[in-house]
Amino acid sequence: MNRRVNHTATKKPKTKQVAATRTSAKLFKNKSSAVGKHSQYSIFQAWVTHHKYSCVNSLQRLLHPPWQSFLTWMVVAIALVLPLVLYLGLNHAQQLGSAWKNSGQLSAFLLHQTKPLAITQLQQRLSTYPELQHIELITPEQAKQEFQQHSGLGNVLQSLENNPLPAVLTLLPADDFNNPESLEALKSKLEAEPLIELVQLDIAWLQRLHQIMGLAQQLVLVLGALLSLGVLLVIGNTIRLAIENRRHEIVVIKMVGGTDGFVRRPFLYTGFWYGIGGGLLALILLFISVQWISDSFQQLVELYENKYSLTFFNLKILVLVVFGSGFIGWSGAWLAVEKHLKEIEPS
Amino acid sequence: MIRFDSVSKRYSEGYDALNQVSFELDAGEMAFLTGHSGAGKSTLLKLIMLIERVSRGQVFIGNRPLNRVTSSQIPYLRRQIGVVFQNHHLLFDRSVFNNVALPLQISGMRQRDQARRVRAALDKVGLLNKEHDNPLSLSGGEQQRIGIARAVVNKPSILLADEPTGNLDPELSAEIMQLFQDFNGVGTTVLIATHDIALIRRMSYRTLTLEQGRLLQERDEQ
Repeated sequence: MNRRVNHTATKKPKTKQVAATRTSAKLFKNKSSAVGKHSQYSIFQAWVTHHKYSCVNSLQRLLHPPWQSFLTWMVVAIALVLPLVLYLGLNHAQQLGSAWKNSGQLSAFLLHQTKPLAITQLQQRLSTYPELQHIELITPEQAKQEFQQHSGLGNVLQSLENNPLPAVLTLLPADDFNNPESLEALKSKLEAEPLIELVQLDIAWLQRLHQIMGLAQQLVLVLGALLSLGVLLVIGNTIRLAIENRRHEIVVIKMVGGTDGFVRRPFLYTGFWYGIGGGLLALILLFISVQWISDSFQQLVELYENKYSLTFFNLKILVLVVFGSGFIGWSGAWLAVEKHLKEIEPS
Repeated sequence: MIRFDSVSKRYSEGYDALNQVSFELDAGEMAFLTGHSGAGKSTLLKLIMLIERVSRGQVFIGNRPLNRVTSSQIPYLRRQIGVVFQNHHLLFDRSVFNNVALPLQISGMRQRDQARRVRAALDKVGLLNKEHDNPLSLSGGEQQRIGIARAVVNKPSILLADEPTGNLDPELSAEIMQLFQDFNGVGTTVLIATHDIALIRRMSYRTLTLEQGRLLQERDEQ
């Protein structure tokens, strides 16, 4: 009885042939033929529906029970708080710095033994300068007293016959001219005055401060980038475990015709929610920290007779932090999904 | 509907699972695929599902050559084919209803249409009253029927079954087979892989027998 089947296929007429041909014709007519008459419900709508479903469902999964997710959120939050605290600190330092920036002063050293009358005339002439808002004279005598008090070389000065110190005019520039370029121009203009021997512009320390701020800013950026990468990897790893836990589900979904996108979607949303949750938690932690140090900060600022209070980020930055974190989470999930989902195939 | 044309499948380890297999299953036909374990039954089903690709030869589904199907098209092909597994592959994190609805969720059917289809499929396998239960709470036979409901819920043209009665006693097996006959009765092409010879003998259907990767004989009559 064992006859080998030859290579040409054997056909066998059946009574169900009519119904069957109909089915056969229907087969592969279009991609959604399995949906049949529901195809007017567009693929796009189905896509949107599944996005909505994945979005809500993945959040529900994270919240039931929330403890496991909370740990991941906490890790993400702590990693984000560190650069945020530094950024906030830097922000305040810059605001304080810009308040100090307008404290550029000029010291004009007059020729030695300029007559007091000539000094008065010079003062009057300088007061017409629109660039200056305040002029203060330090006479050689005042300078000598001050020098004796502060330098510790009082006796040396005592032993001199003549006062070697010149008169000095301390000049406060008008607000509009209180920037490095205008001050340089003003300096040249003042040096053209016959009675003025030397003008000293005291903004070098300000420039140095700005350099340090720039450096700190870059440091915050580098730190932020590194810690964001950390967040990305943490969420990626969490998603990898989630994929592993749902391996069977993935196999079944692929077996009954789920596309890669369909399988991928819930995991991407899970990563997104890890990021969003971590971002929100980071802001809460940051807010608590700011409240905590606010009082001591206030006391410090009052020492400098400065009316200044510690403020939180504005809304734009808050939204940016939360959604930026969400985006990082989504990217981390994407990496994990790309790497591991391909490996899971029905077998 | 299903046509194998000199199909060979060699796994990368050098093991020939199928060797020059040719047959054709007409639309609306029902047939058994039998042979000892390791004879290539599962491999043959996997080639139809595109879980595996042929090494040589051609497989056609509804005149469509499967080696032209790209991997991104595979999901859409699988939606045309319902599959019933020996271990039913149900998901225990969701209700019976949601297990059966899964293929419809994947194809993006509207919710209320889904509900109608799912209830129809559950009604057909006689488990409409269990739709809210977790499949874990059901018996083996019931779980298998849920698996069948899921396989047929989107009205596939082809229904494949891999040892669907493997874990069931003869009485339950007969019930399951009756279900397959019913679906075949409405025009679905059915191919059932099984080594339950007694079961095959009781039913007069075409039988494809594999032995060491070769198609041995065709039994057209009982």
